[in-house]
Amino acid sequence: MPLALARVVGVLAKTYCLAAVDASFYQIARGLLLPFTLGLSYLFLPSKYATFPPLALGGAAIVISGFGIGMVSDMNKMLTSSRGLVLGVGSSMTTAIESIVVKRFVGAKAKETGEGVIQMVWMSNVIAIGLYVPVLLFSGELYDPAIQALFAPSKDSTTSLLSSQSTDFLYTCTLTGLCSFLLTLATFLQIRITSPVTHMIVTAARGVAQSAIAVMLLPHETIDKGRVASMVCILGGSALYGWAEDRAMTKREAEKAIGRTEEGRPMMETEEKEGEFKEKL
Amino acid sequence: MLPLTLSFYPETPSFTQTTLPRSKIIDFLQGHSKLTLFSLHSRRLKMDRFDPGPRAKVLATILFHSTCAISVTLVSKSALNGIDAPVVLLAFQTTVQVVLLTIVGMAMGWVKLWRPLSVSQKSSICSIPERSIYRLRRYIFRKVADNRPGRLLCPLH
Repeated sequence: MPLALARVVGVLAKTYCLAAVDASFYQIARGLLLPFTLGLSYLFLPSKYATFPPLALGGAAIVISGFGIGMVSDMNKMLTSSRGLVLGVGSSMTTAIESIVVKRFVGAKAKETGEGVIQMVWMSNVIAIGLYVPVLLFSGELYDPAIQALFAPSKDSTTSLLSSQSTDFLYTCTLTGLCSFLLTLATFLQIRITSPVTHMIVTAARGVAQSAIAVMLLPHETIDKGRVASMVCILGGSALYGWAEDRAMTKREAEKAIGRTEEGRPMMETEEKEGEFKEKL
Repeated sequence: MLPLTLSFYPETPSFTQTTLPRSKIIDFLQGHSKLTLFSLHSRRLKMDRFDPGPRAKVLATILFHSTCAISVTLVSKSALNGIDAPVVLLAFQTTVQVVLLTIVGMAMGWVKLWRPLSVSQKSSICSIPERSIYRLRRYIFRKVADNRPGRLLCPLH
């Protein structure tokens, strides 16, 4: 239930943010995701997950400056509204909360029940459908004529346009559902095959590619110097953070392993092999 | 001749069918300073934590993931440009996702629609300790046996 709730709030914030800003600006609007995740990890996760080297904090600072550059540039040119800014910050916050919930509850729950990740995703999605019902009623979207035309198609000429618009909407919704399903599988695969650092850098780089494709494919999408500078900062900061975190983690684990050897306990497979080798000799 | 199959790092010598004297090999192993061990373990841990497999596989996975993520965002934006109804979009999207996850997940054995309640869950739901459930069951069986046809009905104590 906590996972489903966190997911629903996170996904709703993301979608409202996407509706409020350009697709080419979406990744910049959600630029505070990394700093928020670090802050919440520091507050709510055990200290082993929340010790950051200075270089990683430097990377996070560069990301924040990238967000600032992008926002100031866009708001000066009236390309993004203050609603977009608020939704971007809110969306970053809710996604960071979702990550913390996943880290804190899901691992333990999966261990307790022995369920796989896909089963957990499936269960949280089923619960999410139930949670969308009251949100749908309160959002007032069901009273939108285009949405009503979706459920009650009419042959009247005035509503035929709405009906075709609704049909397009329905098709694109189905397509996003298919893409989301594939994304779930792809995320599962990527976590298994690539390292967290690769995942972080790829995510930042994807934002750049997404903005470029959005400018090419979608109408009214623009890209200017401010957005480019912002994306460079976010990409560079994320890469620096990922690299510094990886280095620190490797160092910590190596220190831990050496410490354990000094206590006289078997440390690693290699050392065990070394021991066996000595015994054989 | 030492029939050894030690798998060290690429930088360290591997002893296979070596003719070195035993004492020299022991000296080599013992001669690893703390610093050398540290760097060896650092490299080893890096390799253990992240075994990337063939590069083509990693690249294909990253491309697949990125394509899916970008498609979700851009197709969603395209839908929202037509009708500004984020909650309806999400509701449809999640429903389609659940349907596909159910079909594929059940076929692959990733998803189970029902699962039996574990003993701990039963106890936590009913707030009855497991031992009490067994005692109650024994008691009920005894009473049922006592009340078989041909025997006098005796009231439950």
